[in-house]
Amino acid sequence: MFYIKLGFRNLLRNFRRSFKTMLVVAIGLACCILTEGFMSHTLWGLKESLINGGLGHFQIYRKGYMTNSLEKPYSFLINNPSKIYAELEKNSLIKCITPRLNFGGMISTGEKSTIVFGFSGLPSKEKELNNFSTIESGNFLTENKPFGIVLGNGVAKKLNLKVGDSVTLMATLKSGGINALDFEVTGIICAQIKAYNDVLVIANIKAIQKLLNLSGSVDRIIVLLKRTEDISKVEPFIKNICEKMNLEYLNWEKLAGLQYSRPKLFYDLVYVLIMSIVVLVVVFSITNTLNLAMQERVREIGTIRAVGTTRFQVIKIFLSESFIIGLIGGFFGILLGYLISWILNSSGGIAIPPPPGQARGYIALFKPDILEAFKLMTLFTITTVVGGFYPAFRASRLVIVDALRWF
Amino acid sequence: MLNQTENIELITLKDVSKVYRLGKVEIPALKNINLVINKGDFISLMGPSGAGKSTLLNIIGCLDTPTKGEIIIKGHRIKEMSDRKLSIFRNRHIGFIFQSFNLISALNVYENVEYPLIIRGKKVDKEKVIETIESVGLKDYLKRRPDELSGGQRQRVAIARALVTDPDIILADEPTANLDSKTGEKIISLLLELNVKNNVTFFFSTHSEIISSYAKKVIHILDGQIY
Repeated sequence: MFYIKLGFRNLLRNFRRSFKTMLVVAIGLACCILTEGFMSHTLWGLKESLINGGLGHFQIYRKGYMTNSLEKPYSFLINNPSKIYAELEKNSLIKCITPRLNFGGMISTGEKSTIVFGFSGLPSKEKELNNFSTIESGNFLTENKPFGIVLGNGVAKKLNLKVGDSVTLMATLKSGGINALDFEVTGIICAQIKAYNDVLVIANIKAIQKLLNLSGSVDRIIVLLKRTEDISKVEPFIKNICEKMNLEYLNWEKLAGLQYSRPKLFYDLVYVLIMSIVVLVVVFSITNTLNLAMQERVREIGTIRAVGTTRFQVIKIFLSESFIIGLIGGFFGILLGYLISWILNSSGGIAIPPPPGQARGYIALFKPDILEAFKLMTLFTITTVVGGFYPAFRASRLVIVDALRWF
Repeated sequence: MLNQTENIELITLKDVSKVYRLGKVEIPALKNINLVINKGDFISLMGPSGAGKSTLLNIIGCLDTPTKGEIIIKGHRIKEMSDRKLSIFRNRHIGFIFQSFNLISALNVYENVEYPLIIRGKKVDKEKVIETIESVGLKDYLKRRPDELSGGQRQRVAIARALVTDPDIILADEPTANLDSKTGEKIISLLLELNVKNNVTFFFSTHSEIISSYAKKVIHILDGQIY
């Protein structure tokens, strides 16, 4: 405690210089908090857009589907999904359970055609699952139009289609033959990922089951939770059902794959880079401050060494000063970071243009995590202590008689 | 009481020499010094500037090491001690009074005097700190910072800081040099009073014949040699 008191008093000796150094720490920490807040909100947005853009939190398949679906797309289907629904419905954290049947094929207007990949589901449930996609025109799937179809805006543009137009959807059957059905375009949507819009087709599951001659069969069951935070609570439940019913599952993170992991890695690297730069600035700043403090107190160091202060105790005196700078600067850094976040969020956030590969821009908000902020404060305090080590070491190695002669 | 203790050997210097090296030039600061300081001594070290007074005090105070020779303080051979042990040894056995007072400006009078006890890492006897400050006549200045005190008062704080650890010897390097003659005499009278009353051993350097006249024993040094 004495060292903290002495360190605090020593910092007050040159208040302006100490204040400036604390300000460097505070601004540096605030920058990191803002960066973290921006990135966590952006990644949260990306995660939710993927989950609510059709992936769901979990997808359940028949065992073997994941390894064989490319070769034999319709050989590992779930033929009686209602039993699985009944099991899943027992968990109150689940918001929506819906079947899916994915397909690939060709869509044609008679004059033009293009390859499409899509999925089919229950219209009422798919609305809940696709709430991050924007309807550009028309409506999403409806029960009263069983042969309605929703197109990605890229597909509509390629085929020059608009709501109300008729198209023919052709697909290969399990047996190898080809079937075709006519559909009416009921809506054109813009999904978050641009490339996806160029091939995306969404249809009613019953129509696609008819097209593929797979009545009652689905290739997956999508599970959407009420809150993404509950994933870890629900996952054991899903796993248990899968083991019991000869199924397998993937969670959203595995389903999203590179779509999420790449941007996350990118943001993580940017964060580390920014933090490294800030930490370096803080280290140099604290080293400079304590070097100056040491130069000003050479004779005093000689005196305290003469009266019996050990080298280690001299180091402790200097490190206590850097520790206080880190702690107080860090505390005000958190306040500053949260204040700036609040101001920016209150003013409506920052409009960000579409990131590479994305169809739409977004409004960036700053949602710093308080736990992360305290971790940063700890890191900065450690950083300042590390930054203070060199001048502290130098001070401890001063030759006493030379230090006592210093003017 | 004084007579019973005056012949107890406290510090012995055997053939001590100190040479400073400035590049290739060797400057002898002390030459074959042999000296014994007994418990209860009140010794003045006199000599002109550059005679070697400070060097001798630094070596006796374990702040510097001799180039040659040996120092034994209370039976401890100094040259065998590590830096850490020397620090602890200084704290336990030696008190220092400096020409420029050398107080810690961030601490008040009480805290400056308390400092040598705090670094021992044990609970500080506050009563003792206050008693020591009282003994130098600064009872009413406990909370004052050094920059709020006169030169004489600062030197009294330095004396209290040196006394508080009950050292075997107090070394004072020109303790009155930065004070006016009247204050200087008051300070040396205080040291003498502490020597007589409490049997504290003092070894101080000075230029002043008047200050030196208070000493029970005067040692003259010139060109690094005692005579």
